[in-house]
Amino acid sequence: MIVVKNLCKNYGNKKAVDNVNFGLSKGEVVSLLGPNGAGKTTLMRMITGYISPTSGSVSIFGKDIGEQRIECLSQIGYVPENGFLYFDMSVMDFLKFCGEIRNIPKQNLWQNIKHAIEIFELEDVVEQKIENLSKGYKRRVGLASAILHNPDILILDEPTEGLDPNQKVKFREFIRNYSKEKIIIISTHIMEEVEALADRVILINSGKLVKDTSPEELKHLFPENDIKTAFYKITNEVK
Amino acid sequence: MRQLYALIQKENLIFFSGWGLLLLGASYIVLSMFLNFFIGGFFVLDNKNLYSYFSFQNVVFILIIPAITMRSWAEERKFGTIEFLLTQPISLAKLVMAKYLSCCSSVAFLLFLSFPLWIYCNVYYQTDNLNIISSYIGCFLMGAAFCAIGSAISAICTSSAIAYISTSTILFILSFMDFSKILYNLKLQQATYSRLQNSLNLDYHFYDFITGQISFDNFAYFILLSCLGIWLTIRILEYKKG
Repeated sequence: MIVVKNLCKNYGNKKAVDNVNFGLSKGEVVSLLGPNGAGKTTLMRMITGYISPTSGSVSIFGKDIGEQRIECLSQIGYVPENGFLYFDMSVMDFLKFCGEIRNIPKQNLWQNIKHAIEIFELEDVVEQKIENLSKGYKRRVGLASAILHNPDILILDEPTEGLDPNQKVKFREFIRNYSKEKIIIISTHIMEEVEALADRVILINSGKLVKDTSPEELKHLFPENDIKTAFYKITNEVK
Repeated sequence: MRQLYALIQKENLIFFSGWGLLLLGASYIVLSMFLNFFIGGFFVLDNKNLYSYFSFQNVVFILIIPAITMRSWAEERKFGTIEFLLTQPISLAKLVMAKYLSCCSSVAFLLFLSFPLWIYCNVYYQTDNLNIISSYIGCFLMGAAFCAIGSAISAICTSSAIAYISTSTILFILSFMDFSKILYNLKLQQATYSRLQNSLNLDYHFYDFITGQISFDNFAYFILLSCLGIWLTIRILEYKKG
């Protein structure tokens, strides 16, 4: 379980995240929605312990991320929005490196790498340097690296950016299969993705949690019965 | 241990895969040999302890080591890979140690490049090999301390160029600063004054090594300096998280 309690993050006078509270249980696929600069990435960075909150806490299966960082992070697979790959490494070297720093036992490492390569169809590029890959392949390498240790929590920031339509379909399929016993947090601007994948939507605007509901409910909040309109109306209403 | 080894391997793979290592090795050899032959008077001195070579290593390291350490954290920050590293189930101390040890392995590689000179001297001169070994130890310890300081500065910077310039400046000050002027104002007794002055001076400890006078305080000085650099790097990274 993830419990986010009174979470705040200030940058100078600006409140990037303002008193956010929610809890997530296994089996949930949650979509973090919000306009640019709403605080989604800051929120995800605090959940992953990359930045410390100004106040409040994040607990991962009962452990505080600030106090038991390593135990918490061993259960998280995180794909940040912007390039976090080592361009000088080959895909195989990078995946092996990810497996080793996550302490995957040697006997399982190759099996896990092979599995991740199969899921994201990276067979043709395993020996290539990451810098020579297309944007879509880079994204797939990132996703493959995040699931290597079979984490209970998957946090993905704009995961389908750069993927072609075929890969998007496969990604959705993967999320559906993977989410059965896991917690998945996806930050995205693509509403079709929210409708197709999420069980729950957390809408953030100006750092505040403004809606915590299901995509279906969000869709029917306004007479237009459209999730895009709902998003537009809610985020502008708050402003 | 496995995590630490994987991190060191990654650092070395990235560093050794491009032209970086070749350029660094070439720069080190050209600079060291230039100072050794043209300024140090290699053929003039009685070179039984390779003094003409080792006596300029502090200057060479001030110019070369910042090029090794500048990329440690500054480039991770610049390319966004720091977010990946800091969200892995690995302690900050291990991350910092891995980068530090990787830099130290580059220093060891640079020193290894000078081995042919040692072999040459053994063939043509009566060398004091124990003194030469002591000089190598001194050079390595000084290089390791420089790596720790460079790593801390790299953790503050987002630009490799700024990290290079800042590290070189700080290492220069640390190596050549005359502590006597600061200590004089403290109105200490003469014995304490000179002892403190010597203890703080980096060059004083380094020259003890290259003249074959290894003592505990020389080892302690460089090890403490390394520890200080590593500790500062951890603190800076923790501070930047907040």
